[in-house]
Amino acid sequence: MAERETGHKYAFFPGCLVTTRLPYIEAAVRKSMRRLGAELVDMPETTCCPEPTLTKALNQKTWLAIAARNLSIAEEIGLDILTPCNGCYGTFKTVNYIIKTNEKERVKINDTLKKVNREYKGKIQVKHVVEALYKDIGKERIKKEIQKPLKNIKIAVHYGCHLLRPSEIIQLDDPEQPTFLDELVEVLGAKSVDYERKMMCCGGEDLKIHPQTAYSILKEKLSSIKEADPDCIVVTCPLCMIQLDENQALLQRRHRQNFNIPVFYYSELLCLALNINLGDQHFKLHRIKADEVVKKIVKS
Amino acid sequence: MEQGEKLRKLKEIKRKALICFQCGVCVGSCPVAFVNEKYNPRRILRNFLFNQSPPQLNLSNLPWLCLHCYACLERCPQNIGLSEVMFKIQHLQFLNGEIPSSFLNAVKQIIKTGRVSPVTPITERRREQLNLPKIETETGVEELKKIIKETGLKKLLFSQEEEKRSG
Ligand code: SF4
Ligand code: SF4
Repeated sequence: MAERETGHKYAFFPGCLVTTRLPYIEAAVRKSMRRLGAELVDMPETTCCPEPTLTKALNQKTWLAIAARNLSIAEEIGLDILTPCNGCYGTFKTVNYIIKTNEKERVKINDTLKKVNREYKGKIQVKHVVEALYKDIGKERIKKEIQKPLKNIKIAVHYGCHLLRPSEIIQLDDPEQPTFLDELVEVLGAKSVDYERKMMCCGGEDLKIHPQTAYSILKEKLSSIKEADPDCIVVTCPLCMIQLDENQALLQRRHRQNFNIPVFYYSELLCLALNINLGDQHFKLHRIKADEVVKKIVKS
Repeated sequence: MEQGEKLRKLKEIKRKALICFQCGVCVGSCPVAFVNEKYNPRRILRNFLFNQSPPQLNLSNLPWLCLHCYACLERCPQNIGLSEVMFKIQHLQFLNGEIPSSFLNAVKQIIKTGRVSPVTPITERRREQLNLPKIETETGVEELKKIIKETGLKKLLFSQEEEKRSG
């Protein structure tokens, strides 16, 4: 429903982590989408999506209703919802699926929404930023706009769990051997390199409960990436970004692990390839220095 | 929460676990089990199969380690949907007051501010630097609070705290 003659238009839902902790992701998404002719409409009065694990464990009914409330805001605007976060994506995709396929649940959820004078009919679709790039805007269009191809750049792609699974609901790509993000990386002119633990979770969800486990998973992941010797890692989720970038830096400081692999959100690399100036401050917000890779691309 | 309701939920988990033939495919797919041998999703299910409905689950914090990465759900030959079952186990633990305080605090943060992470002066400065729109005042929070109340989570959180105090 989002397609209009002038281009693509979405209700934009950056999510808590991007808005508050990693706003540089939001900047890169906004700029690259605008360049590619997509319009992002801000959503008023939204809240946490809510995050896909904790609220659901505590009370599924609450999780469903809060998500449906956010979706109802996009429906009211009349646009599909677009998010740069795998967590928000997982929540919205799943709740939307339940509402579209389960009449009984839909009625129950709307009974709750009535108490806040809202209704969600289930008319819109949920899209991740990289999904919109792949399916709506398309590789051809991106290719045409590229000014600085990422030549000689090797990239380790990390999909993140909720971008793909549960595949029965998400239906974006093969949950064991996906390719669409690798394709998006290669369209920019870079090379996607394989590594052993490509489909392994980043472990970020365990930071709150058992940091040791979260860091062990991270080490496992980074060691495997290091073997492939890429220039950088690409992610599609702020929590993966925090885990792979910020906590990689922490591992280096505290445990003298020297991985030193810069991490980018996909849209940042897209901006570089499109020759969009993100400003001097932008990449300083990364914890693992990204300057060298950025220079390598900009100079090309 | 009434004991009867808890038992009903426990039985529901047992019914799901019944067809688990303990093959261990979930363990082989699980990133947590890979680095932390104390965590074993197959064993967690087995305990549900053998134990008679205990008033306290005494599962320790282990089930909360599940990342809900859905790797096991994709691969389980019995299609048990283990990560979904893990949600139900966590829910039951929550009803029993067996929930890590860091998780409770995270939920309280959402209820209070409508977000998982707070808007700090640093956030605002960074957004300004990046030419991003100002964060609107939390107009959605009142509705969120109403939903938390209507769906019973507020009451559950309250009785959970009571339980902690008396236990
Ligand atoms: S993969 Fe499924 S059947 Fe096999 S042990 Fe795990 S839950 Fe049981
Ligand atoms: S969902 Fe939980 S139990 Fe299943 S593989 Fe992931 S962390 Fe392990």
